[in-house]
Amino acid sequence: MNAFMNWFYRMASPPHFYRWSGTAIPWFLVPATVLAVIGLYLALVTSPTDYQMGDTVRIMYVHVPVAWLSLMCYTSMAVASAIGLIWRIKLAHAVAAAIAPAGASLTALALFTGSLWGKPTWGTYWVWDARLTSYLMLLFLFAGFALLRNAFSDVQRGDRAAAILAIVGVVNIPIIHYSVNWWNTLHQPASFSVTKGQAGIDSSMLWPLFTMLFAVTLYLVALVLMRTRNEVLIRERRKAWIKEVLVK
Amino acid sequence: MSVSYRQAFVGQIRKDLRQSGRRLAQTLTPLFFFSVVIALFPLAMTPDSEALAKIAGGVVWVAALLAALLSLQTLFRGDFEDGSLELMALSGVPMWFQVIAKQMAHWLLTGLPLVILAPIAAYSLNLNGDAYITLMMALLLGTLVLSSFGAIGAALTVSVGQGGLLFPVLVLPLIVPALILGAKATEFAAQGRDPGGALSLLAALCILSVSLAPFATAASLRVSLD
Amino acid sequence: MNTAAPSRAHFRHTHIKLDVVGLECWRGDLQLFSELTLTTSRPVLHICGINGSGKTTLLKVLSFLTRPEQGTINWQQAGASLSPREATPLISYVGHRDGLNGVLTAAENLEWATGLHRRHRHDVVQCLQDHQLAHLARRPVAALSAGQRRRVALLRSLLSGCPVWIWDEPYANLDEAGRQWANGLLKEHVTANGLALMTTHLQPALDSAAVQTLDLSS
Repeated sequence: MNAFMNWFYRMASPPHFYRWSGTAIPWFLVPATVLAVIGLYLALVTSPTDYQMGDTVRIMYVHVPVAWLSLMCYTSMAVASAIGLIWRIKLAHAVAAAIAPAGASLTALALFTGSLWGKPTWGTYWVWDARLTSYLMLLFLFAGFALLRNAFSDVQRGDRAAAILAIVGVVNIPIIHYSVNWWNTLHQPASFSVTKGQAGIDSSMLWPLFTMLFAVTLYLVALVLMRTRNEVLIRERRKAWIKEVLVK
Repeated sequence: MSVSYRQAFVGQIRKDLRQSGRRLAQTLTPLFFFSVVIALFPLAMTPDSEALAKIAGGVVWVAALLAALLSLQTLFRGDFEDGSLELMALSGVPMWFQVIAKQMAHWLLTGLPLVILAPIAAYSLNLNGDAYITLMMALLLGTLVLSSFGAIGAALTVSVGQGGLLFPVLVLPLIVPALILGAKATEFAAQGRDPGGALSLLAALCILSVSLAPFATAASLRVSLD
Repeated sequence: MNTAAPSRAHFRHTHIKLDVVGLECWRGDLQLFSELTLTTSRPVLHICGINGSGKTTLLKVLSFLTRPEQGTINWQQAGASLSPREATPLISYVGHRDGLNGVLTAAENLEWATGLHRRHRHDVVQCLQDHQLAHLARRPVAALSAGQRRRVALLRSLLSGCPVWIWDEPYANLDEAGRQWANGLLKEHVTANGLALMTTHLQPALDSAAVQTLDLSS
């Protein structure tokens, strides 16, 4: 345990992180691009049209990965925040700060693709459907996190305040989700669930979906690493090691 | 160290009640605000009593929520500005404990009066007679939830210049469940359905938030004092 | 100097000491000080330094209101180290802000504040009387002058019964008589074996053997 914590602290020291993340980014970015090309080909060309929804079903291949990952983003942001608060690791706060805009964009994209999908399906771009409403709340939570962090002139205080908000938010997300679900169960039930395996969805649609999911995940990791590097540069700009790194 | 928790708790409540009692106009403002918001709905929508009856529960809830938040926003502002918060942090009585005292005093002056005023507001909106008890019970639980989350938001924004605008952005998404459950319970009762399920969920939410939120509030106050 | 209340006259605190090693503090991008090491050896620690040298930050760090970037703060009582949780109730802090609620009277404010500590139950009204502030007791703090408010705030330290007083610019807004009055309080505290940490631009008019100086400008 102690050895692990030591390793963890070492990896999390800003100069060390800056070095290893630089080499790690291509390892995520390249597979992400390859998978995205394959995934989009499968999704837009080879996968069948839905007998009810026609070609609009193809929005799913963007919508579903993006929606899954936006929730994932919030959770990882909260975990990073908690690590930053409890073990006082500054890098964790930088990671949380790097995730926030990415997560907010994904949530916005999920809402946008969802409403595009809604137009042919429900005949309108926006309905107060349970899932759309939950994601709207998620977007507000992301916005609150970013706004609060920026409201403090001191970076560290902003980090800690926003971290508390992120943790309160992550406890609340299931409650918000269930209450909104309970409030409105008008939407079609989830057609894919991990526990039921591939219940309502054909494998010809599942493969492109998974490919896209991996592509977006890998891209997101690369994006967060790049954004964290920027955060680290900004935060540590007065430190000596920055000069060494930049001169090299 | 002989720090008396009871003494600190009672002292805090006495301080806040005294101070509010001497500034009665400011203390009553949220209640006037509540009444004004209620009056706006018939004006903006329709004076037709049938139509109003349908939305009465929701309107009372939205108005109560806004009134409660308006007053919660400044829960710690005075103590922060005059330096009392620093004394509280150094007192040796845990901050979360003092937060509960402050919340309780605030709830007695705002939450409870709202619960009492709500039936009058609901009557003016022609709410179905069966729903009054449910409305009051739901508001009793709901105002406690609002006060818990509102305190977190107030503590996070107390040292921020634009805190007043930021506060509702932070707090509103968090209190959506309370609004949904409370308003639905009232609506169910008005339609003659059983509001028990919604009320129990609201009670669970109330217990959860009242018992956990003070810790987050205390941690936020620490950050604000830093 | 007026004599203290009889109940307090022979009261003595357990000796308390502060040990600071390798303290480093930043405000935003600016490093205020680093490698600050300090041990209290006399009853009064006078912290001086130019504006912006980090005097207030240092006091906040020592009372655990703010975290330092690096370094350890060790409060010791009777040879035993105190955890932050044990140490904070021993500290009476008077910051830039007086910690007084404007709507309440001076006596009510002091009663609330002593309720937070209550190590020794002093009678607030008696104490105000002993220190020539009886005429302020029943007036709302908002109606007091800045100097009067300062005096009430400083008296809070005595009432708290805390062995450590941390005073940030205690002489601000005080006239000559007020400064004398505040020094009287300090002397009373020193006699009771207490420890005082204070920032001020003025040299505290105390017996120089009782004062230790820390200059942050250097």
